[in-house]
Amino acid sequence: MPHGYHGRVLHVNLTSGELSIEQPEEKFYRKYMGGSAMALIYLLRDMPAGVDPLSPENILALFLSVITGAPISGQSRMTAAAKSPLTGCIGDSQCGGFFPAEMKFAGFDGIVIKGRAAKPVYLWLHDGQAELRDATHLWGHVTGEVQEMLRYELGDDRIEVLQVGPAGEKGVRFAALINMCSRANGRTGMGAVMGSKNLKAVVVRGNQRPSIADPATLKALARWGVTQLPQSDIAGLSKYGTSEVIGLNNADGGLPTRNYTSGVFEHYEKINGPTLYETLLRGATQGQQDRMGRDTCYACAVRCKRVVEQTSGTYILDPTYGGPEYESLATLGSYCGVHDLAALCKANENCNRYGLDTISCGATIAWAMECFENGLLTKEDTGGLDLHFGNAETVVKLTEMIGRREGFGDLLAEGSARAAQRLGRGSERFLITSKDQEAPAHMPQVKRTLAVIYAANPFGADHQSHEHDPAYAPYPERMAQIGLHDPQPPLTLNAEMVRFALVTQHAYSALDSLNVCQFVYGPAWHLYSMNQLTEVVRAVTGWDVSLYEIMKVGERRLNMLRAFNAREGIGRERDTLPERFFTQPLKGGPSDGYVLDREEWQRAMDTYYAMAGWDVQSGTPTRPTLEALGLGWVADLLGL
Amino acid sequence: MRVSVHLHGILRERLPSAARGRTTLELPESATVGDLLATLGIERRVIVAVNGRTHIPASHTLQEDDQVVIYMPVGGG
Ligand code: SF4
Repeated sequence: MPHGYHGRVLHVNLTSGELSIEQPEEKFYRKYMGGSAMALIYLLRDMPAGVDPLSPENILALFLSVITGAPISGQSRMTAAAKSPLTGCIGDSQCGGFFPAEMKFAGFDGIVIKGRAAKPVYLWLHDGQAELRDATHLWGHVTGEVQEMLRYELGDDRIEVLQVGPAGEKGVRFAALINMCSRANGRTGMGAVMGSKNLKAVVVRGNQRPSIADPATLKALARWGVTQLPQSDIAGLSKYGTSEVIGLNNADGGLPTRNYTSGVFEHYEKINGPTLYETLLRGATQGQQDRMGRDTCYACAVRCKRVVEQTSGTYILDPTYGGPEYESLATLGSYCGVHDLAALCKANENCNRYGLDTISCGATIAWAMECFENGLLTKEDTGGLDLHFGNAETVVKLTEMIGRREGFGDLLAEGSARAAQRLGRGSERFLITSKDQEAPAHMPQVKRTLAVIYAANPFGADHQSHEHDPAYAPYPERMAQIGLHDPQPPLTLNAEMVRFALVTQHAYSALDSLNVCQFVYGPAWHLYSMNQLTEVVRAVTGWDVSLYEIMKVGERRLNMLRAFNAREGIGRERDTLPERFFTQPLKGGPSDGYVLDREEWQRAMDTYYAMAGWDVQSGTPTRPTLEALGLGWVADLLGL
Repeated sequence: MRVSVHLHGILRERLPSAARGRTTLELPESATVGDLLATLGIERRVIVAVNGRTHIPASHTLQEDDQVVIYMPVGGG
């Protein structure tokens, strides 16, 4: 009898309507633990190379982990993986909220979805049962409406709904999966994949809680976290949400402004966490925002999620759609030169309503704005919209137009890289993308190992795939747990910093396999250390697991993601950075003049591949490296 | 010697909320960044910027009219 998980993976063939349950053996759970480490088994084994990401042949896999749903902070997360319609590489994205835990309680550890339904359907999972139901009446509706309709239809307010909005239905290449109307599997276009399958939603509800092997130890660990939280370094996330990072990154000269031309935004205080806290959080006018303006994920004491509300003024803000994260405020805000906080909350609301990744959405608009500023786009192209940097109204309008693929929004719905290709006129020079995915709001010019990870990450530029440079020095005890003892001065990109990048990438990859929150667990400023995470996994599963084993899971996942790309014929040639990072020094503030040195970066990339055990020329995993991770079967698939 | 101080994020709570994280402090001549942190009662791991230069060590000696910004090394989000 397993602890922490069910031993049940649901297979859904939407073309035939067939549902079946696989019961993998314990070894499968112990070796891969969850998330995309598990998802990639199916994507690699059951899907040929070269499929069109929006065709029925693409596989969408949704996976929890062996600890999802356990009563402790930071464990309710789920990974979605499929071939990405944005990048053509592996797509991979995590969400939080209450959906992941509820999916576990509905009796399933993972769902593997193939094919395409003849007409819109939704998948209803409840207490170990699975059924496909007609969703024709839900098609075309925005997320808030669909959630209400499903609650009514199923007669239960406590269902959790993971869904695509109109953006996913219409194949917006950066469409997200949305749950709770406010949480997203945002990146890499997983919403477009689910929409292309005519699958509108996955709805879950249940009481099948897996047993916990050692409840007393887990309870003690959970209690420790609650007691430590106020003194911990994530106390600010608890109080201000991730939006506190606006101030921190601006102080560091690392807040991308006007399409990454500067790392400081003169208006940052108008859009930062404390301002949001004092003005637009629900309950702020009565001083009740701590109680009414914060939200959480299942069983998490941190409560870093925000809820905004405004009942009058230019922008009415509906609390159903939550509130903006740091990345949303930065990409829709400073990235676009916009400082109207209510407008940013509205743009964020629209992204949640239509089902869009806020990062790609904001960055794609910023690209268009720079094109407009330089005369590469005119009002004739935009249908009369003024796209100057700083135009808040335009940003709000465009989030809707992209979500509906309307007018000029239809071009931007392709993502900036494809839009630039279609537009031509030299507009590629303003792209801020790696593997055609828009870069998040953490700047490689300021935190140099991001230059390696943005380029090398198998699913495109990502800020949650390793630890950022400033955290190496201040946390020596925690870094030592994963074998890192030698922090380097800021702006260094030598072999030791590459080692820091790779080792912490393995750690973060393990977090994404165990599907735990990267604010709650990690090797630095997080509430719990990596050793404590190991204790949590031991207490939940009863396995005599070690941190070594968990780190290996992370390395295994990373190699599987990379192997997926290799099989698609994608290697080092796509591990690129925006040209601007090497040629155009940042302007103003502490990072004035910062620019990457191309030769230093190339050397760092060589070092990275060699340290990872990958072929330095092609950037792909070698047979010995895969075999050392117990992935000989992947080497066979790759024909190595 | 007077220095101006700007505290970010949760560090703002060391000052009355009306200050919005900003204050001016009188420090003895040749006070260091470490002395300033002690005066503010900051024991957390923080990053200190002085006059727009980031990652200034605790041993750094402050000067009259320095502008000091203090923030946390929290990444991600
Ligand atoms: S820290 Fe925030 S994002 Fe992470 S699990 Fe808790 S509430 Fe969710």
